Amino acid sequence: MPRVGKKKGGAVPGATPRMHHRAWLAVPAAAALAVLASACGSSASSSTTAAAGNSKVPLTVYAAEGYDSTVAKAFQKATGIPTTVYDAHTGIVVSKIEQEKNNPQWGVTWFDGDMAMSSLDQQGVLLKGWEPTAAWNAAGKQFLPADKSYTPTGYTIAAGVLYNSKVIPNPPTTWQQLDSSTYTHKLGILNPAIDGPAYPWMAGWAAQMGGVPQMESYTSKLVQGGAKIFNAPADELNAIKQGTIDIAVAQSSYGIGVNEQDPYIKEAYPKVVTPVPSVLAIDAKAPANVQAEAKKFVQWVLTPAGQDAMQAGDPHGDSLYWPVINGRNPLPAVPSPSAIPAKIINPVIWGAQENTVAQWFTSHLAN
Amino acid sequence: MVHVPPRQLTQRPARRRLLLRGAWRLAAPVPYGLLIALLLIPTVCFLVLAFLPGAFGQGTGGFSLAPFRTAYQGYVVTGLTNSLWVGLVASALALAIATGLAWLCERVRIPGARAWRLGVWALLLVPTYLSALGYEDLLAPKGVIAQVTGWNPAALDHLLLGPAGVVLVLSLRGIAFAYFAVAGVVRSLGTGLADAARVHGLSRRRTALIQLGSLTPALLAGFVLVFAETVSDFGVASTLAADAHFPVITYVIFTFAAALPINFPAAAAVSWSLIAVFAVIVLAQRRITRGRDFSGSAGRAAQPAVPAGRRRTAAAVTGVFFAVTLIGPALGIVVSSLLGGTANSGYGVVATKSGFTFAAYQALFTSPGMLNPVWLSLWLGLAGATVTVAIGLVINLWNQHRGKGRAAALADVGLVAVIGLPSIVLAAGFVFFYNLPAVYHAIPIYDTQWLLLVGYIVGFSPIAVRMLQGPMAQAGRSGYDAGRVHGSAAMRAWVKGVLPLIWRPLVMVWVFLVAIIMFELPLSEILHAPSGDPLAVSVAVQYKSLVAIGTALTVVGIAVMLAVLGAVSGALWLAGALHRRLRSRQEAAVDILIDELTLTDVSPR
Repeated sequence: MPRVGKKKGGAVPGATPRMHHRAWLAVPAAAALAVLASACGSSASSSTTAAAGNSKVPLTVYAAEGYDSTVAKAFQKATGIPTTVYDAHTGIVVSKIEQEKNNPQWGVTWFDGDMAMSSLDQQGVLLKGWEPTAAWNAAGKQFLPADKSYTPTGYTIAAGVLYNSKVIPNPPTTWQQLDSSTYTHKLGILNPAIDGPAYPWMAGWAAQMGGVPQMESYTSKLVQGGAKIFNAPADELNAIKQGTIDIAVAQSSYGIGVNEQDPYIKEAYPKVVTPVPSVLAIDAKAPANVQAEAKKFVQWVLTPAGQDAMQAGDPHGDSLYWPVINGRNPLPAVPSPSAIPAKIINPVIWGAQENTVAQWFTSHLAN
Repeated sequence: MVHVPPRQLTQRPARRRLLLRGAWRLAAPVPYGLLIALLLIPTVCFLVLAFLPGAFGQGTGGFSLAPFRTAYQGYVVTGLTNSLWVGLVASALALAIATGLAWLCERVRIPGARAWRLGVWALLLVPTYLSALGYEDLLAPKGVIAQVTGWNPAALDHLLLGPAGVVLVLSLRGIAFAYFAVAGVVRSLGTGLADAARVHGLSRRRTALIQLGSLTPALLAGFVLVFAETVSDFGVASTLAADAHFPVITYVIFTFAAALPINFPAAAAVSWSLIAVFAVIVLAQRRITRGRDFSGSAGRAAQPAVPAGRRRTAAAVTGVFFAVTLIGPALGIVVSSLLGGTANSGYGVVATKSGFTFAAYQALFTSPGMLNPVWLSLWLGLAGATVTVAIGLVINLWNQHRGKGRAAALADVGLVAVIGLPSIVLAAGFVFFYNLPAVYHAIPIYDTQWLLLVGYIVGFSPIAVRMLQGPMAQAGRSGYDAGRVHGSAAMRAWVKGVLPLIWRPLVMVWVFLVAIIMFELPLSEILHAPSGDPLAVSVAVQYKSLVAIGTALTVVGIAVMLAVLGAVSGALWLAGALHRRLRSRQEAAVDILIDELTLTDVSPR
């Protein structure tokens, strides 16, 4: 039987069918490689190009804000620092930071809740002792941490009540009123183990009711009275529209945004509500050049351009905040803070109890 | 001239052969072992936290069983029990319905079979959370039924927000998984057994049971697949089940891994219980199929003779089934994306007076970059599915040709555990493993889309392995053996003898995986690169405040996936047509040759 030999530098007589067969196999192989490269290469190559083009290193932001991507793009445009955003729910962001403790990959993190940030600070994850230069207003000064480990960028109310005004013309004016037969099986609350601003509001309840046991007793009574537990404000709103509930406890920025589209669904603020700041922090283990860029990012967010980007990024959601910088006004839909009975609570004291309260809620009420 | 002792002349080649054979035996399993290691190491990294809570910077101290004591109490045990019985019921229901559907669409070929197949794809493509949302919209006190009829279906609503609703939505999703696991085998199941049974005078029932028996590998593979998928589902766990205070194990693991207080060692400890469950299930499956040959004819089998009236009735019942099952997701989509959203405070999506608006879709197509997640997920889906199917094929071939009992069983348990463990566990393992400083410097894929792609490959390879198990068992290796006996090289013998019998299931599993990867959320949410959101993550982000845009994005994703499905079907049809044309030409050429030979005057002169 004749064998096909390999001839240097020329075609091999009689080899065509096999060569053709291999060439045919090479097509899908090349296509698969192209698909792989095009699917996955974008991020790595863009970072490399950016890094090669100038001395600026990529800055990675782990965030849970509706406006984070808009702000990052504007910052990159203004400074030339390549900035990427990993956006997820607060729980996922905190979880990822904790998983990366040994080898952190983030430069800056940004989410609602100084208590959760204070917990990260207690674990030594955040850079301390640096504060941006800014003309803080009265509220802003109250949110500044003593150890300068994070920076407030604005604030909302952790929880007001979102209600269907067609069914409830007169919303409750105190939290105690929620524990009445009027709202039996018609109230929705959020799970503090999952929703970022839910714990600050429960800590606020604890602060005004005399302590955590009193707050737990009150919350248990609400749930035993038929209050439904949700993971996100969007689920609460869905339930209100479906008629499953008529009133829910939800963050002010969410409630104001909903009211803009559905005027019959309103947000009210019973006595006393808890403000929750959006806070930025820098990775303590990041390389010096990344930390330098992270500081630029924090500083830039507090400039008029940064605040404009924050207000433009999610105009019917997280952008509906009260500024912490003098001379900045909130978006028109946001009510005056003077009309809201709010009291700031100590994030270090109450942040230390967050895990205990969340664990109690998960064990006793959520499951 | 060198004198060679006769002993050496006779023994050296034999010894060399033995040595070579030994080396081959030692070396051959290496790639297989590496593949399994690649699949399992990140998961093991996470699971090891249950015994070494101080690993990966998660705490202090050495070996400890404390995470087990922390984890296994109260609602965790309830969650595990709930998941097990829900998984068993939903899997059994899904498998029974899917097998019936596959028989009607693939064998009997009832009127509208192609449309019903599309219905199965729709069941697969619609995320479970959207189905749950749709059914809630249907049955809520101010839901569609109440508004249209004035009747408040409170009892049904109560039923939906509980175990029954959880089983319903999971079964619907499971039908799609089970259908694709059994359809190929049902299509190619030969009539030989049925004919033999009839010849021997067996009743219809026993004939059907015998045929069902020959489907055993596919049915068992389908059951294990659906069970693992059902138990690890997060969409229903975080919606219907959470709303109903019906704890299931996925949600319990989620509360440890991504809710405060974050406790990875406890999440790992709970995950071990799932591994134990899957070990039992897979070993039972292997025990049932061990030592039995289920191979039969493959390819498209003959259509059984069913009266036209019965075929029409079956088609009508199938139509009603899909109308009922798809009304939930359809309503979810309509209410969420066309009515401005059930949970929406978004700009540009203000409902018109008539109540319908396409503003969400307009925003998607006019705002730059809004559709990028669709294209990113499509590419990841195409690449991931291609590699995943290749891995599934290699592992099945190994099992078929070289797999040894215990090692193959262990690998099988490991692979099913990967399917059954919630994606959040896999993702956490990936973060721990690929972010280890040594690994990070050797394989710098952390925080790039490569990590997500590897995550998809690892997460879905076991599904490919199991989905291909049935068709490959059915095709058997006799075609390959025949080729080898006739002197073909191994690859050629397999390509000519086996590939033609399994190429359809291969393509189907590939398309199936493209679809699954495109809409995957838990892995994507944790592993995606900061530079770009995949589709499911983008939808989740939009859901924070722009539900209409999020749902519209889902709809566009589904449309793109259907386009892929159409393109693949078209390509298959075209290839089939070309093949038939070539064959008819060949047959014509042979006919001409025979004619010429016949006409040639070969009579002796």
